[in-house]
Amino acid sequence: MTLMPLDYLRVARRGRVVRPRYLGDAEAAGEVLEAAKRSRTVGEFRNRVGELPLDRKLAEGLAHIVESYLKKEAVDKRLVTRVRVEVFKTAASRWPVLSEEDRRAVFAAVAEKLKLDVAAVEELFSKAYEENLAILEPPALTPEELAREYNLALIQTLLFKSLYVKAWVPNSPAVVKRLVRAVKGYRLMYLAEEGGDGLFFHFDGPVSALRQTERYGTRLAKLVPYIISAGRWKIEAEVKLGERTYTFREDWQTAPPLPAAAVEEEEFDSSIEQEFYRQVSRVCRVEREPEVLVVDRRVYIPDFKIGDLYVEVVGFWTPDYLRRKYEKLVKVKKPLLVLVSEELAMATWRDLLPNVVLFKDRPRLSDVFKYIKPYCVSNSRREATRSQ
Amino acid sequence: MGIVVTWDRGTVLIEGELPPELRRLSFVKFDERVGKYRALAVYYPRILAVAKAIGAEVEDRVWAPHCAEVRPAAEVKLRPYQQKALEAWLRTKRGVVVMPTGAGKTHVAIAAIAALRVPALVVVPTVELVQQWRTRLQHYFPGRVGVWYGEEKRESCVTVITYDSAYGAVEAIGNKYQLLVFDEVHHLPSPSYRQIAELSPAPYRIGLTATPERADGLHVDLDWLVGPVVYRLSPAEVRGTWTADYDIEVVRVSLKEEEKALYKEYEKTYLSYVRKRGLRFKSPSDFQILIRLAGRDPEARKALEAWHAMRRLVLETRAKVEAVGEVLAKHPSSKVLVFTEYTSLARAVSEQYLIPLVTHDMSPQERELVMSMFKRGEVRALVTGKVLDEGVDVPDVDVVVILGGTSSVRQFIQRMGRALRQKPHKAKIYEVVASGTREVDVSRRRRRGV
Repeated sequence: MTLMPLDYLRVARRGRVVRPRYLGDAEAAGEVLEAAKRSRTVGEFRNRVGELPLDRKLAEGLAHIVESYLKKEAVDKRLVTRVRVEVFKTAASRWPVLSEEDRRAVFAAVAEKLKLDVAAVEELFSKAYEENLAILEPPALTPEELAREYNLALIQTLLFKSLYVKAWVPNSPAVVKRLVRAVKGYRLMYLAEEGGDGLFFHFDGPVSALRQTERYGTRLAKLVPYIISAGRWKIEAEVKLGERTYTFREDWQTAPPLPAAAVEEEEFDSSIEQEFYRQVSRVCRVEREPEVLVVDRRVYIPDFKIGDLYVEVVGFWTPDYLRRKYEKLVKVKKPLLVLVSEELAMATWRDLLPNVVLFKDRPRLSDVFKYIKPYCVSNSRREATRSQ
Repeated sequence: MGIVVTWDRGTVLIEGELPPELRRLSFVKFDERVGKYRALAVYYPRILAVAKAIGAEVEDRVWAPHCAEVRPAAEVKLRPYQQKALEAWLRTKRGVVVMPTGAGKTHVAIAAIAALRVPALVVVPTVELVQQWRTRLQHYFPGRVGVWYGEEKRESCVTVITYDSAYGAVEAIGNKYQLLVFDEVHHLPSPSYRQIAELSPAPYRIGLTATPERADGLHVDLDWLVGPVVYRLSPAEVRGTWTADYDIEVVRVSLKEEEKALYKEYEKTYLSYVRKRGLRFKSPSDFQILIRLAGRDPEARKALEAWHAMRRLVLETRAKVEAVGEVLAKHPSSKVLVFTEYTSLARAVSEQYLIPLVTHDMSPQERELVMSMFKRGEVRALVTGKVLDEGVDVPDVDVVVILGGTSSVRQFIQRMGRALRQKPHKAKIYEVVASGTREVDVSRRRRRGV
């Protein structure tokens, strides 16, 4: 994923609606890739792209993405700086350096001092500029792949100017977990709601409650890959371009082909959970992180589901985290079994939550079996139990 | 009973039973997402003041300061007018100090930090200024100075940060600093940078500049973002005594023959469109009309491209590189600073005369190295784009060469200011313009204010 500067944004506006000018066919992408293949240096590539008979913003946008995939020559930056500093110092000692002979004499003196050839000194001197770096390998992208990357980058660039982003994704714990984690990582805020056999999200930031702001646009744009990784998705945003605001809407059916982002399978949060899963799955059918529940417009993903019973394992964590977890659990209003480490259990956990079991070190099947028994479906056939 | 005020990423949250006097404040809003009242952090001191006035009990959990007290290790010695400026600011501990370049604004701010002894965040425009402030501050607060920009992010009791970094970082570090120092504060009112001031709860704020006024009129907002002008010193009051005297010489160069032909061609494209549409450009904002038209009309787009091409020709002509050589030959024992508009010309000058260059695309290590070499006199000249326009102190520069720039009077004054630090002799300023082009007019406009 490469973010593209706002300068390269291309959109079509109709009334209050805005849509990126996607790249429909891969021809332009192919031309830019060809330019990269035929260029020896970054500067040459940029010049070639400048001469292509394409819209400037399109050509430069594509080139921007291609550059992020180029394998450029690695120069020893410290050596480059050392050579340059030496050249400048030597020039100062022969001040002012006005003629071509003076110039050559400076390089010769530096070469002698650093025990390098003159040609090497001149070359190193020039490597401070990115344009002079050699291209070792052209990008390993097909024109179609580049077009996909470009179209994703366009959506993200448009969202740089967004005031908020709304999204719909299916109820998939893996997707939602990663999405919500990204929201927190970028210091954004979200509200969730169940609907349309999935979840609606509204994303913005603290200041958004006080005034319209584009402040969070760049970060909101970074959520897009997490959203489209769901496979089925919808995005809606309010975007401020110049003095006016426009609505942007896209979904998995209307969007052009976008890069496929694989959703990695989440590891167990802790070994306690892993151990519990191993024990229970021997007797009952158990799903790990079965689905996303929405509690007070926040998402909550229980650790396990046994029949209709949700199970939450509360391991070792900070008091503040435990307090927030508790507040969430109290509001779940579904059959819930909570396993709490003895050292952490606050009195309120036991008083106010039904079905709290304390454990020492780790929860054992023998301690909880009487709670899960009514929900337990035999797992003797050992079929796949993992939710999708 | 009472209310609790907490910090939340550039805002403050207010919990508890809010008295109606607080709920009614226009800048306090109920945030349904969290079920609490919220306000931009800049209003935090006013919320406290209102609460105090009505006798409401407040539990203030906003601050997480980096250190309890910032004690200066050395006395900050001030010139008489700097002392006056400090005293004027200390009356309200908010406001802008206006002083010409070279008059020592930095010391007023350092004295303010020393007087208040609270953690301070110093916001500056460029990485070069970060280094310069760090060195100055180290002298008074040894071991307690941090920097925050690009790659290097290390906080301390007094942290120097660029506007660019502060725009984002204020959400994370805003509640650690009770005093904000804005160097070159005329940058602050821009739509993005102003958020640094809006998202900080700091009750104490000082702004420094030689020229607070902005062409877009936004400087009026400095009043509430930082405070009103509390002290103003005009260049005339210090010229010759505290800053150097100077001469300006305009050097005319001709475009090369092939450049002239190109220039004429572009000019024709541009003027024919402008005349056809009856456009008139009296101020920079009028020019926005052409930019807006270019978004829709392909002909306008061509005209705009022609305008840019003309500008590039004028600002990058080879003749200007040659003019630099003549200046260098004429002042073999001076320290020379060359300004260009585009980095391509800066590079051409650098490569021709083997002068180090300081531009955005050079590595920070090289920039830092050559800056200190230039200060120590190990190199005699430096060429730069816009990064050194402001504030960076090179005490003994006596020749400034301006190869191109905008018609902004401020930019011109700032660039000239590089040569105006106190010295025994007159400073010399060369302005190189391409004759027979629009640049002659641009140059006349920027010198109007001097």
